Amino acid sequence: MIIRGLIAGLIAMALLPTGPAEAAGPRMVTIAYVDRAGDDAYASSRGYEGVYDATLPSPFPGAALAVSDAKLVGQAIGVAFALEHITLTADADASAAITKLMAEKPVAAVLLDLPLTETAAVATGLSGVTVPLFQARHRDTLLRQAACRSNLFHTLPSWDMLEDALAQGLVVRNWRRVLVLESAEAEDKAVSAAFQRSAAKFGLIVAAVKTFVSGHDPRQRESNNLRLLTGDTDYDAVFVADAARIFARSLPYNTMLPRPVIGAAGLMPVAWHPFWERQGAPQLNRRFAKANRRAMTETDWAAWAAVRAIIESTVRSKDHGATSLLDSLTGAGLTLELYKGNAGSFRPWNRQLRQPILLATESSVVGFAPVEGILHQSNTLDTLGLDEPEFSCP
Amino acid sequence: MIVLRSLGFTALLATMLVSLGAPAEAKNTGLIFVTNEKSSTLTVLNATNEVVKSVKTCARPRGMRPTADQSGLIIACGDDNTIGIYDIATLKLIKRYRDVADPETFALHPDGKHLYVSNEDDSEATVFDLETGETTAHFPTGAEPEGVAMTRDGKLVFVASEAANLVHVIDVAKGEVVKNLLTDTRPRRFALTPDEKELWVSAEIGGVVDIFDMTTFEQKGRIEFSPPNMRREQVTPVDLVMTRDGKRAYVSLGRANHVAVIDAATRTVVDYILVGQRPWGLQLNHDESRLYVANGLSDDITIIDTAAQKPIVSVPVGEVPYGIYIDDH
Repeated sequence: MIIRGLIAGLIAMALLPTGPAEAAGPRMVTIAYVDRAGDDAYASSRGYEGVYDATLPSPFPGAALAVSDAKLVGQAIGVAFALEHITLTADADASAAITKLMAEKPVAAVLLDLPLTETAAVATGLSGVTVPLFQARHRDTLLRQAACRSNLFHTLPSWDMLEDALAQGLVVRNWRRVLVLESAEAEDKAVSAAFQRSAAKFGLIVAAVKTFVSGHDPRQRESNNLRLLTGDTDYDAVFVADAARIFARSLPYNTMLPRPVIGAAGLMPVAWHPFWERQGAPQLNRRFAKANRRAMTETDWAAWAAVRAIIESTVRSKDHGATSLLDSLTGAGLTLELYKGNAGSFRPWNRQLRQPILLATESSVVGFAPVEGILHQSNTLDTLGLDEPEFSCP
Repeated sequence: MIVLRSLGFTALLATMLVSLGAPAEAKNTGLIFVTNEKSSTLTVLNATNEVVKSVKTCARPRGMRPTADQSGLIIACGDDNTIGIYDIATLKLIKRYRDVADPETFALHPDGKHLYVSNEDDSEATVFDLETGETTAHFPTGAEPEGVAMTRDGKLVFVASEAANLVHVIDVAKGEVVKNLLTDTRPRRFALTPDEKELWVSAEIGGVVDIFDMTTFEQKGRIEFSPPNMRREQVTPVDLVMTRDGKRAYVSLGRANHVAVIDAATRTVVDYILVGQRPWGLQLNHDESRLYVANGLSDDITIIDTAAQKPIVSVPVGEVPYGIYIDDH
């Protein structure tokens, strides 16, 4: 286990006459960020022939930004926020490492940046502790449903939320008939299934579902030729599920009919976008870009949102999170600024962050969900994703 | 640009331009000035609510107020890091200060010389000397400082930090931040009651106005809003103004497309007035018979008759109107 050290919060503490806690010095609130050396998700990756860079950067800087933003509010309540970055070696046991850290010092919350199965395993391993765990990189629906854990919070939207947003965007444009293309990969089939559920929920018509394969084999032309895949039925839009995005990139402007592509290319539902120009977003994007010399990604934003939620709950709770952080995170009073307009909060049933979704192309945000006119009895954000009655967690 | 709708209008405009020639006559012109942050223009309306002029300004003009002698308009431009002073009569740029980091809003000290500016991207408030063009002090704030207010005697300055949910209280004589007040989510703007016993702060995402006692700096009240046919999450209060007698306050409710009318003594909302889309900037005229509302997402301003509490007219201006100043006193 490598401990890279304490970031943030520690400097300039002694200054302001703001409360009784000052006399004894600020109370440390430590947030652990746990990732693993050599995680495949962040491996350096070029698109074919290096035409583009497909590397996903580690979202750690998102978490760090939220901590550095909280310096002054920490001073105001007599608390110093710190982020402890723990990078596990390839074979280290995550649960054991976190348990060891908690034995050494009080840890307010843990942000897990680990592969999917391991994230669920750690949440199970630590189910007895009252420290909230966060994950900010998986969109998987099962992690919030059958594989859910009561101590695990999610800040990245699930596939259900994203596809509901896309479906709402289609409804408002009156693009009713959708051709669905999916690969044979399990993740793509799951995403395609999520979209089909969303289509049914919002009254869209699925014209056909086809499985595509990448390649040029003439014997498989029904599945790899873009014109043949998109030619024998009419539709208003083509949905494509393709996590690799190699096939999806080639689809816009190559369909048989002149129709827009949505999903993994064209119009995409995203948690965050560097070109989002409203609700104060340019300020957050500029602040991130200035500190890190790159644009803020969706996972950067989700890591930022996780730490922001931890800090905000600490600030808002009566004893500033000393005993009740888990309660205040799911309490009704939490109104998180997410830079997407609506106040964020956590769904008490599956600990998912409620949030608006952006509908965007590579270069522009063209829509926003929940769309005007789609309503909900308690919070319009709950028109996106699994609502309480649909929730089942064994 | 100016649209000349008739000969009569042209004549009126010509008369106006001539009469605006000398700066000495500039005060009390009855003209209404609006900064448009996306089109980077300044729109001018006459007292009968007609657009008489539109000029290009520095990039992304937002905060605007008059110079101490009311002959000029000080405008903060965030996209080219500029504070410009425009002659109120000719609308010519008469002074330009560069390299002021992303200025958004500001307050002018009673000495007429020192501007207290929030620098959105640098997480600080700075004091800017209008005579020398020098920045004379820096105060660290939370991320995204926005609204700036000042007591009449110029002794205390308040800066809202949107991202940190704090109001920083700066003691001008001491030259330091003496207090940080925790607010509801995303504090934006201020109003001080005329007796300066209360500081009102709008919290945009919290959807409320927080009221602080100016002696103890403890929060002593909170105003909530429920405009007709609007959902709770659409209530995003931004600007607030108070009448000189301290009896009425007006709060723009952002995405709820209404302005709330508040009885200040009881802190209750007595009316909601429907305006354009996403109203932010508010300004009362001098006799307080009219309230001007900048509707950021419908590119117009709504003019409200305050006695009747009814909108009179909405006038198209530039893209994303932000600040309003009325030269009528």
